[in-house]
Amino acid sequence: MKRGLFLKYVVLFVGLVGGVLVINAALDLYFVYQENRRASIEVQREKAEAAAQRIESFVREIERQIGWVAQAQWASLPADQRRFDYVRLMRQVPAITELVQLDREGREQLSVSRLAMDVVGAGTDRSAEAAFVGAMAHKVYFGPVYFRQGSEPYFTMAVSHGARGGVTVAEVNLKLIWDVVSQIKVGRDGYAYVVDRLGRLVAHPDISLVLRGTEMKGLPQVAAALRDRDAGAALDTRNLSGVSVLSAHASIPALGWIVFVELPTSEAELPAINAGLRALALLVLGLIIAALAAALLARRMVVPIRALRAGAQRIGSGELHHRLDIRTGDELEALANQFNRTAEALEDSYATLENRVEDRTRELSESLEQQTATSEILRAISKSPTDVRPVLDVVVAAARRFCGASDAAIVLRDGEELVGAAHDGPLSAWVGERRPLDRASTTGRAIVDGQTVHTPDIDALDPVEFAAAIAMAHRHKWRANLVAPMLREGAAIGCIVLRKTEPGAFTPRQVELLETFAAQGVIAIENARLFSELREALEQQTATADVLRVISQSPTDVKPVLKVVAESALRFCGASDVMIDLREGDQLVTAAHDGALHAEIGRRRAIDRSNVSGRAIIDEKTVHVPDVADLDPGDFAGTLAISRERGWRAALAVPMLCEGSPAGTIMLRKTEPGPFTARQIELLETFAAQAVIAIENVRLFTEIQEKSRQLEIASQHKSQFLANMSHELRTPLNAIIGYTEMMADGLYGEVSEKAAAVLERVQKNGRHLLDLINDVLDLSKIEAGQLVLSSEPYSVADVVASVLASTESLARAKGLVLGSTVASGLPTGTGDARRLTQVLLNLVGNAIKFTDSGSVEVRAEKIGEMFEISVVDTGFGIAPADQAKIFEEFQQVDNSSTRKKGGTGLGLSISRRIVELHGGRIGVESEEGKGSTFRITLPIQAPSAGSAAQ
Amino acid sequence: MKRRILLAALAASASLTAHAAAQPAQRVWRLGMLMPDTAPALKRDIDIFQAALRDLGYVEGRNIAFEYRYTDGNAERLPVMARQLVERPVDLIVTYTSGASVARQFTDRIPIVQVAGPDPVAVGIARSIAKPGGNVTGLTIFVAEIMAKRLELLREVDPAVRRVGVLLYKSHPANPPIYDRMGETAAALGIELMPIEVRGAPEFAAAFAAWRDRKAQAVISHDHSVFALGANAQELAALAIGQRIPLVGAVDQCRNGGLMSYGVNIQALFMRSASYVDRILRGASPGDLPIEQPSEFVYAVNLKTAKALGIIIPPSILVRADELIE
Repeated sequence: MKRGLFLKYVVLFVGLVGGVLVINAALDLYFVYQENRRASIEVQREKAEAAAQRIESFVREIERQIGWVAQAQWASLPADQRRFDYVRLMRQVPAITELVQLDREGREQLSVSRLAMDVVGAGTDRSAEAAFVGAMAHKVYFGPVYFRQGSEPYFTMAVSHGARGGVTVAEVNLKLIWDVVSQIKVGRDGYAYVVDRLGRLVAHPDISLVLRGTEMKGLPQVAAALRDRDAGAALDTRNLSGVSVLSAHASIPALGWIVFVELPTSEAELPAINAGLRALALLVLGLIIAALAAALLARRMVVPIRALRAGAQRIGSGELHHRLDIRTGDELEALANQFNRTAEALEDSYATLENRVEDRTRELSESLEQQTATSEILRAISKSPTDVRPVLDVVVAAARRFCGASDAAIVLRDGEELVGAAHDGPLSAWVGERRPLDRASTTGRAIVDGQTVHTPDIDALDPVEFAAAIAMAHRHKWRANLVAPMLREGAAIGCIVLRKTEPGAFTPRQVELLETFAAQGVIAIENARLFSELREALEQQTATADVLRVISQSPTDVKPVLKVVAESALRFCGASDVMIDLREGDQLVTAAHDGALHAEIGRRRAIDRSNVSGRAIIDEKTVHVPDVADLDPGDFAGTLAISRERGWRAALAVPMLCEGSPAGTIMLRKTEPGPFTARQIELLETFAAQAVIAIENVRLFTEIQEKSRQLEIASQHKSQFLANMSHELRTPLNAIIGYTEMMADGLYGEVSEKAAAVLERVQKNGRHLLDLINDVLDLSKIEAGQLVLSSEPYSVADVVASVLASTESLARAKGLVLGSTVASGLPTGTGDARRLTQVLLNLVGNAIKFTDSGSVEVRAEKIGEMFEISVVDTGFGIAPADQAKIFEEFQQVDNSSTRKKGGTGLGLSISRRIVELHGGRIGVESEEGKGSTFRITLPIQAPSAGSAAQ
Repeated sequence: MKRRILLAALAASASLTAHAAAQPAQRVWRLGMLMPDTAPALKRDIDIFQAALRDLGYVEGRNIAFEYRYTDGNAERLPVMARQLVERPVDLIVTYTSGASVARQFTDRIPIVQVAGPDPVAVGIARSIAKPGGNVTGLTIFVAEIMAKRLELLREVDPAVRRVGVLLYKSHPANPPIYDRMGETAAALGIELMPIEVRGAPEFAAAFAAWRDRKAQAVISHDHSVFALGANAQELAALAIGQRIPLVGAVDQCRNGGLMSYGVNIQALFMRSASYVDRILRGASPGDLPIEQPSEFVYAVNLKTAKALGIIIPPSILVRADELIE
């Protein structure tokens, strides 16, 4: 916008000034051009005339020179004299190439030439020649231009010596005229040339044109000049090369030649062009000045306009007190003042407007209040999800306030009755009271019809149809009411009522509002209903979970479970008390109780049909007694008696059926008569089932406990037996071995060789049996938990050394290399050195046993906080499938070779137990046919010796 | 802001104008100067030629460069040097006497301007005087006429002359017309001509010996560069003086002791040929430029030689002479 105005001003101004300047320059240029052209032509004409004069005088000079000899008496001079004069004449006039003297008859008397040989008295008759004839006739003759040798321009000039003296004919080289012509300079590129009367070029700065004998008649300027010799008109034309020229000419009367002076138009117009350039420069300067001036002026215009705009903007943006201060003293100031006046007017009208806005704001705030009320209700709904009452109170209060009624109430439907639920207002109301639901009252009608009932005047109603309504109105002193049903899924669950003490219709807005409040009331009630349903479901879940938790916590005792079941049943079923009885034989024993009534835990009574719980057990069915008063005294004597004694009136007993047979009952009792609801019955049956689970659980658990205890005892007996057995076996075996040894040693006399061999076998088998028994003893000790490790410092090196010492002979007997590699500086270990030695001995013994050739090596080193002791042999190895089994009791790699080697199959098992008791591990790596490596990893410090008991 | 833009625009337009005014770099033309003479002998002519070119706007070192090739009188060097110039190459060759026909053998493309020399039409390097057609143009001398005129002038100076030696270049294309014209004149004057054609200075002495044997009373020399210029001209003059016979020929010969010279004003021709150079350099085709003929002749008489030879120069001669050497 601002740029636009500024630019417009500048462009306008520049355009104006530029236009004036352009017109001025154009006119100026036109006049300069014309003037220049005129001057140029004038100069050219002058030059042409001057050249014409010079050529004329050149020719006249030759004529004069010739005239010097051309005297009548000269012809009679001796030839030498005449020749001398001619030679001198030629010296005087370089242009003359040849001089010929003709006598009055036209015969050649003398010829002097620059190139040809001088000839005296040739006598040739040349009287017919034009030169002779012309000179004789006109005294002087100028011949046409001709070209010697095809290119040199010449013309013949003849001068008569008078009537009796003959004629001197001179051949004049016209190239010398070139000097004259070429000296003519006009401007830079201007030039002159001469044509003869036939239009042939006589002289030209470009001599070659002359030599070529160029015809110039074709040029318009030449043609025009030839037509009219004296026409002084200059011509705007073109020269031979087609260049546009200004041409002027002058004629040489004596020769009939014409001198042309031509100047290229471009040069002739140069001053005009320069003038044009100057004008252009002036124009540019003018435009710049104009632009600057325009910018200045535009600024003076635009700045106040911008101030106006800024002011207008401020006023526009609400600063109505703002006043413009523009003092340009012109229309702009007037405009500013106008703005100021407008602002004042605006300020005034704004004040009026503000009042209106206030009114509107009030309306808005009312509307906002209603919104707030709605939100209050919603908040109340959310705050009180379970209890509908506070919400209904809020709804009633809000309805009364916003509908502009003096009184409001909410009535709810409960089955076929109406219940006054909430009220707000000065009139009396029947809150908490119940009334039948019918169409006789306005509230009933609204609920039944599901439609808003509007009663502007109660007295205007039909007294028969609205009897109840009219009665109510009189009782509570109202005259008009409006009832909006609270609809849930199309059915009314209640209604909201507005009441007035004076008759009069409610406005549509009131109706609309009331319906809105009714809808909100529905939401609140629905909300509360859903919430309590949810909570109840949750509580039941929780109760069930509690029962189950207790069942799992108390696997052996049924009492805590029953207690929880009782508590939960009371809480959910809602009675005066709950009692759980368990069946013991044909008696019922009270096991759990909760509630206000009296009951004795542990009280026993016989199971019979005279009381409720007995009947439930016998019939295996739920027994429901809504009122003991209704019972037949003959059938329920027990119940009647006890109910009177304890003070209850109604009961519900559910049998607890365990695998089809009743294990007891759970019973609810109430001090007030009345039937239990279906839900209460269902719940109680659920609790009965839970109690059954607990009872069953406890029973099963007890059974399992008993079984396992019996098993344990049996196991201990087995171990004890084994230990005892071993001991008992060892003692006689030792005796057998000892005596056999003594017999073999001959203590008992000489034995025959045969007998000695038998003794030997007895002894050997006896020892084997002893080993077996020892192993079994060890194992049984371990199994029985009787193996106790000693905890003492030991040296691995010593252990290894003692093992090697005791197996060396065995190895040697089989031709095996037995060696050991014990890392130096091994720390002292703590553990049972004797048992560890036994383990290593077993491993090395096995290695020697299962190795037929090669070596057995024991390696010991420390890895971390552990000893690693390996026994490496080159025996036949163990199949991968067998490697896991060999550490189990009574497992030996089953093949012919092991059977051959014998052994109990307990050694590795015992070794494993011992190592494990030390907190270590034992393992094997083996490849069949290549040998085995048994590796023991032991903590350096074995954990305090433990028992091997499992 | 706007004002600044305006000023910037103004400055820009000013600089544009300045650029437009700047001239494009000028081309430097290379002129091959094939000169059948020594540098000192031609100094004046060359100076005049250069001055004429300067007047036409050609300044050495700015837009024109000269490649000088002086044969120093050795005609055999002419083709070598002509070839050098053609191969260099130059934009234009300026030469005279037989230089044009020699240079023409090496190029029919590079324009050749003949300052002076035999009729190119007769020599066969131009189709006609008015329109040469090829790459040779320039000026020609009426050699045959001049030779005849020399004979006439000789006779006028010494009417007793009957036997005249004529020195010509061996098999020069211009020789036949010379024979014709001189023959005519000689017949008219009753003179016996004794022409000898030579190739160069080594044969001078033999030629003069021959003329002496045949009692030649004078010698007329052709204008060939081998005879007319520098040391050779000097030698010829000396030989003539040695035999006490007049030598009529070129101006150099006259100045060095020859009796007379008659011929063209060579300096005027040099001056004139500058305009040929100019027109060719400006784009004209040499074939379109007519061959000019001189209209100015110079007649010199060595009075000292005349005196030495006991010849009295008649007034008709004296009045004709342009230069009298005392």
